[in-house]
Parts: sequence; structure tokens; C-alpha cells
Amino acid sequence: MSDRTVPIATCAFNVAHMRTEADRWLGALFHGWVELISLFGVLFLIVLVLGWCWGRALRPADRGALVHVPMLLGSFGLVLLLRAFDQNWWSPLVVALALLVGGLFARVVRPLGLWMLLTIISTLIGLHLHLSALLMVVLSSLALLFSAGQRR
Amino acid sequence: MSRKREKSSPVVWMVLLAVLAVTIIFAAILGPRRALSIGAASALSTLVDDLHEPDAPHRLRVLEVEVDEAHIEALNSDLPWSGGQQGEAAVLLNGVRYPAKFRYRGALTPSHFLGEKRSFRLTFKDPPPQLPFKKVNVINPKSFNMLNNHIGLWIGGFMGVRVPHHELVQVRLNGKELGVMELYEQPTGDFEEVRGSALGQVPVYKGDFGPVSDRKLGSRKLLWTDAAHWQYESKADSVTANVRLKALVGILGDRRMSMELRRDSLTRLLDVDQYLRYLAAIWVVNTSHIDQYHNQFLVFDPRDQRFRPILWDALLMYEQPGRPRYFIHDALAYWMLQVPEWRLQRDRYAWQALLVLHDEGRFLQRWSQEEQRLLPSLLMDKNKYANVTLFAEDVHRYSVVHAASSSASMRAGVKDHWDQLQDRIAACQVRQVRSGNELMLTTEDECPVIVSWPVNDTVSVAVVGEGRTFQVERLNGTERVVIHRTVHCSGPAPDPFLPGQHFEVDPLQVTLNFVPAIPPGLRITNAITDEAVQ
Repeated sequence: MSDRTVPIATCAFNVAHMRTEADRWLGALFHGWVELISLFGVLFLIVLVLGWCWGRALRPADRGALVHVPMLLGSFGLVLLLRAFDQNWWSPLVVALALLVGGLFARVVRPLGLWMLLTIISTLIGLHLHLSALLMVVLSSLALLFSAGQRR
Repeated sequence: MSRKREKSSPVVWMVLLAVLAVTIIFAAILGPRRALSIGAASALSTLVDDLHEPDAPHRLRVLEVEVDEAHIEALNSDLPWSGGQQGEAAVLLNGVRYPAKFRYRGALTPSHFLGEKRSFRLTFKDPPPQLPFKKVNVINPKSFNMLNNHIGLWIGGFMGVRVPHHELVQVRLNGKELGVMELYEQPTGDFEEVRGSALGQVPVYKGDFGPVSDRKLGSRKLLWTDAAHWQYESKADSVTANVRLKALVGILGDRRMSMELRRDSLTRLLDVDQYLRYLAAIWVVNTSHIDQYHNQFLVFDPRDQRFRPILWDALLMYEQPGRPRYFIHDALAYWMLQVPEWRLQRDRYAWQALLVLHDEGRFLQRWSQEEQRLLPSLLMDKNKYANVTLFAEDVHRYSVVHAASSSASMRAGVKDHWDQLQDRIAACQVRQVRSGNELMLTTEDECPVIVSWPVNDTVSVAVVGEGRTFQVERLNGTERVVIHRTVHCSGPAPDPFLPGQHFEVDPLQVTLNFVPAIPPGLRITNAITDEAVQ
């Protein structure tokens, strides 16, 4: 019996149904883009919340901007760096350097103290420890809200 | 310290606007639905999955595989075309190292090779005693819940069908966690031997697409048009099996053969009971992933010289609910389902399985057990890849939220399908009109019926109607006749090799003439459920 002309296989997700290679990469790029936005959005929220809590203890005239852009960009960079070296021996080195820099900035650059806090939180996020990061944000916010603002 | 309040930096707003603009451009190019699905998968997998921190011990088997990195790079160089080259590997099980060959598998379905969790095949010369199979596939689960295929095959096994070994495993490739994958036996000649039902290799045939060559997918051939379209997967002598397979193919292609002759010929070549269980399992599992071209295996038993099907890639609820009752997935099913007794037996197997799986809750119990075993590994798996849209190329990382939602919707889908199936099988409203010795039965429902009465040893009852004498069977103190239903094929030009056909049940209108008279205690029941008709 001779072969017949047969239609494409019935699998819904098969290679024959794939469109252009560009289409595939577009989806992948968008997935990566949203991943970056998500991380950036989370860090933005954290900086916002901590910035607001930090300013609560100060007089309105003394409060700075709610979102400190250099701090936000620095912490975002740290998260990306740690995720790039995922489960690699570079990770502890990056964490150590970040803590050193964060500690230095925390003593000299406003908002004082927040730099160190955000470095720790970003490190936790970069190491995929979101629950710890969340806990850290909540506890830090409470600590900032209930502490005196004289030394800030 | 006192200073003026700073204004919000315009840089922040510019960055936010730029991000928003790029996102809108992406969404416009991709289309809103696709962008939403990919975006949700990305955001949830990034933010939610990492909320799980304390790692619990795996309850699944941990499969450690070591492969030369250079070989993996060579396989990755031009996927899916470059993935078929065998390379040396080793599998570590319980601290024992087993040499194996390693290659990727699955060039047809992108979820096998896109993403970071790629499906592969291990071939053993001396397989581990815990996994006594010459070839195993280690597959990226196609569904978010990861249990779909596993439970589909379990249902098949529960219904008495031959199924390959299948389990979920935690895979480590070269020390890196690859995540949860399906370990899936590839049926070969030792299929029966490893199950203790044969002393050596037996003939096994694979009905699937041809292998990849020259950057092209394998050819798609109608399996039942030529015995050569079946790939031989055994080292056993194939002479007898090949002759029998050719005979089987010949029967399916011969349209002039009478129904009785075809039925008897099929009975000699095929384990009909196994095949009816197989058809029932396909119906209960609700898969259309087994068709005229692929996902079929036949194992030949040299003792009775008959073929038996192996249920393969039985994706649970692959088909939409409400599928036709007598769906024809291939040419063999086309002819099998035309035999009324076999249709009835298939339906009875399905009904009996549903009573236990659905009514007694065995399916949900099994699902929960497997989910509990899977859970620690699933939560730790940050490398979950599957199709997140209906487009083949959209294989992306997804989150535990997807897995949880998929699990819930799968259970709901199964419940809906099985509720429908049971309602449909049980529906049997029969109008009865008695006139003298005659009993007229009419129904629009699809059920075959049994007319039975208590045995009376002094009077022998004969039943005639529709120009023939019905065969009266004796069973458990009753005599009975089975009124089978007639069916017609859905298409305008019925053909065993056409895809997407089904049989529709004709309305029943039959007049039974009882000789010498309608016996007392006459009872009419649904032949599938054995319940009295309404």
C-alpha cells in the first residue's frame, strides 16, 4: 500500500508550528525584560518604603526625597551581579565587597544607615532569598518607625 | 541637621517612563495576550518562587548524571538538530556509578529543547538494578503540574493496559540541579523480560515519526498503511512477528472483508481484550495525543503470537471535554469500534474504571499522594520550563503559582470530564411498548440494552426480531439478549486512515418477538452499567 500525503502531526506544540526564530527570541527577551522590571519594581518599593520610614522621624523640612536614586541603582546593580554569578564562587566575593562599600556609604552619604540596610536586602534578593529579604524589610521598617531620628 | 526638602529626581521619572515605553513596545509586537502570559510567567517565577527558602529533602529519586561538558556544548550548538549525537556519560544511583550513553531527545516538541531543562535519553549496556531498562528518557514535564503524564499512565496501568515505567525524578546534571523531570522507560525488546513475563527479548514495534536527518524532522507516515512504517525495537527474531504485522496491516487496509471475517482475523492477531482496555483507557484519560502517525507501541507475545498495545504519552485531558464517544484515533480503532460486542466491552471497561477512579476517589487519592511526593522538589525547582502560551516557541520559565493552578484545574477538568462520561454512559431512557408477544424498544440515548428474565426450565424462550433470531445467553439464573446499537461514521466518505473521524450511534427502534410469549419478570437494563433503564 502506498504512502499518502499526510497532514502535519497533530501535536499542538511542535516545531512545525514554530514561526520565525525572531519570534522565539522576542518572547525570550520579553521574559527577561519583565524579570528585570520585576526586580527593579520590588527594589523601588523597598527603597520607597524604607525612605518613607526613615523620614518619619524627621521634621518635614529635613526629609529628603522618598526614593534615593543612587541607592536604588546601586542595589539593583548588586542584585543583577549576584544573579549573574548564580551559585558561583564569585558570589561571596561580590557580597563582601558590596558590604564594604555599603558600610562606607552608610557613614558618609545620606540617608545615613540606609545604605547598609539596602545592601543587605539586595544581597538577600540577589541570592534568591526573598522571604528573608521580605522579613528584613518589615523589621527594618518597624525599627525605623519606632526609633528616634536625632542621629539620622 | 537641617536642610530643604529635596524634590523628586526627574531621573526617576525618566527611567520609569523609558521602562514603560519599552514594555508597551514589546507588548504591541507580541500581542496583548501573549505578552500577558509571558510577563506573568516571568514576574511570578522571579518574585514568588524565591519566597520558598528552607530546602527540604527530596522525596523523589535523585538521578545524578555526569556528562563531558564539551559533549553537552556540542549537543547544544544547533538545537534541535544537533542533539542526537551519543556521548559517554555516567549515572550515579545510591553511590554506584553506571556507565551510559547520553543524547538529547525530542526534536519535534520545543519544550524538550528550548529553555534550560532539556530532555535527554540514557542508554545502558548494564542498567542499574533499580532501573532495569536499557533505554530511559528523562523528560522535561510538558504540563505545569508535572503530574499529567504520570497519572495518565497510572490510569492506563490501573485499567490493565501495558504501560512503560514512569516516575518523577530530581535530576542533577554535572552537579547542577536541573530540577524535576520525568523518567520514562523507552520500550525495547526486554519490555516483557524486565516485568518477569518473558525469558528473553520479544519483538517490539514503535509507531512514531522517523528520526531527524539533514536538519529536517523525521517523516510522518500513516502507521497502518504499511508494516514497514513500524520501527523494530528489539533484538529478538522478527520473522514471525513481521509476518503477523503484515497480516494485521493487510486486514486494516482491506475494505471488502466482511465484518465477521475481519473480527475473527483480528482476534487471531491481536489480544483483543488488551486492545479494548487500551481503547477504554484512551477514552478515560481523554487524550488525542495517540494518532495515526505517532505515539504507538506494539509488543508481540511469541507464545500466542498476538500483538498487545503499550500505552504511550497518554497526556491526561489532552483533548477538550465533550469529545465524541467513539472517537477514531487510528485505522485499527476504526475497525475495532465497528464490532458491537467490542464497543460494549470497551464501554464496560471504562465504566468499571470510573466507578473506582471517580466514585470511590482513587484518582484524587493517587494525585494527592504523588503531589505530596513531588512538592519539596517542585518548590525547590527554579528551573521549570514549559509552553506558557499556545505558541510552540514560547517555552519559558514558569512559577509554582502556575503549577498550583494547573494542578487544581487539572483535577477540576478530570472531574468534569468523568461526570460527563458517566452521565453519558448511564443515560438510558428506553420507551417500551408491549403488544401481545411483541416488545418494541425505542431510545435516542446511546446505550446498548439487555433484556433479561428469570430462567424457566419448563419453557424455553426464543427471541426474534429485525429479521433474525437473537442469541439467548444464560447467566446467573437469568436468560438474556443483548440489543447492540448500530453506528455510522461521522464523515461523508468513511475511511480508516482519515484523521478526526468518529462513530455516531443511531437511534434504536427494535421490535422483539418472544416465542412462545413474553416471559414473566422481564427486566431491561443498560448493558454497560447493568442498571435498570429509565
